[in-house]
Amino acid sequence: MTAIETISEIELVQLCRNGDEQAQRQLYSRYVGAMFHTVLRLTANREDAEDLTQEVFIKVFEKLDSFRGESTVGAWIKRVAVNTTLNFLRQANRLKMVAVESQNLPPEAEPEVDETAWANDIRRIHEAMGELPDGCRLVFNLHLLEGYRHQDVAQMLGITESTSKTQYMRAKRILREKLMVGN
Amino acid sequence: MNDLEKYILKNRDELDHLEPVPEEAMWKKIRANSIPQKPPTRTGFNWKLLAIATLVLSVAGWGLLFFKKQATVPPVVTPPKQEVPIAEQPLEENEMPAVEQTVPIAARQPDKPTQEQIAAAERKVPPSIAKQPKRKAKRVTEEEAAAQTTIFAEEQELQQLVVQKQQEIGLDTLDRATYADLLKELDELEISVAEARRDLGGIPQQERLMETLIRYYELKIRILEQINYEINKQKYHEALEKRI
Repeated sequence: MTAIETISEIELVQLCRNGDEQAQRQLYSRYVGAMFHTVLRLTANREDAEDLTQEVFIKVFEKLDSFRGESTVGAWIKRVAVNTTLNFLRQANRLKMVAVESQNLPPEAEPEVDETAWANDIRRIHEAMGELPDGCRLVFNLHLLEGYRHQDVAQMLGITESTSKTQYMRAKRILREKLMVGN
Repeated sequence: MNDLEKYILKNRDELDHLEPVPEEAMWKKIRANSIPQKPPTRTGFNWKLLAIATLVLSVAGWGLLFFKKQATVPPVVTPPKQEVPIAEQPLEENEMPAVEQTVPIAARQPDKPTQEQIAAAERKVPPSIAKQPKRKAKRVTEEEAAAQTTIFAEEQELQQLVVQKQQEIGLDTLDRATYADLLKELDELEISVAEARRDLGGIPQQERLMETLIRYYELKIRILEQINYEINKQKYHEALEKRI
């Protein structure tokens, strides 16, 4: 293990700011996996995910001077990744939400899924998530996996908070159905 | 939150490792799309050129000043030339008497004009003009002396600072191979200032020499600070190595 692999985030960021290529490579290696998968889940397209991940890291190295250390560098890079991806989807006109009749999706109406259908198979869930329609897939990922509140998701996607909630319920319903079918 | 959500969150990390990531291919493209590279720290600044340029400017400036002064000084009145036989001139020790020939009195350097010659010359120049250069020369000398005192104090201060920096760095025990470039610049600077001392060593050039020396100390301090920076950088990297 080399010294650069063991240094702290703050030191690594400082070296990157100074143009240290080894440090930049190290920062990239630490976060590329997580960022690629985040972008891939949001776009559901491998080619787009590769292009966007590259764009994200180019932006990260360009704007590293603006990182103030108010969050972890990982969280900061994640924000860059999410914003870059959403801008891409917006330009590609892929942020459209399919209208959902909220009365059809009361939480209490959710059919329970046999746990054995998806337990111990995160890959199946991952694949099913990739098959969700754009709008509800975005909401599901941003809310459940990236931890944004519905209020924040609504702001990011330019929708209302209630739309965000209904899209989330729709995503769960479709996901369960897919997992049941797969079983 | 239902079981599915709980299960997904429980296995959240796994979701980031399911797909193969083309890490190398993407990195090459990122590099190709130019990660901004800050220019490397300049250690190869040509101090010698700067020092030489300073010296040249100093000498040129002094030369200009000198010739300007020459142009404003009233013409020196020389006594009329008289020719005397060589045989009448006093002989230096061990000097052989010359054959019969004549030389101008003005060319006889050891001789001073006689009182009669000076009196004759002063009669040809109005007293107001004749005495002016003498008073002016005295005033300039006082000003120069004051200026030189100030410059001398400044030089001493810089000299002390240089010594202090050298002690901080431990210049005498420094590994010359590691800091070869900077130490070479320092050596070249020393050679340049030695030349300046030699070229500007005469009394009329003292002020210029002092100014050059002050510039030299300033350059030397900057090089020493650069060495100090490099030493600290080296220490930082060594500290990182030890963390393994």
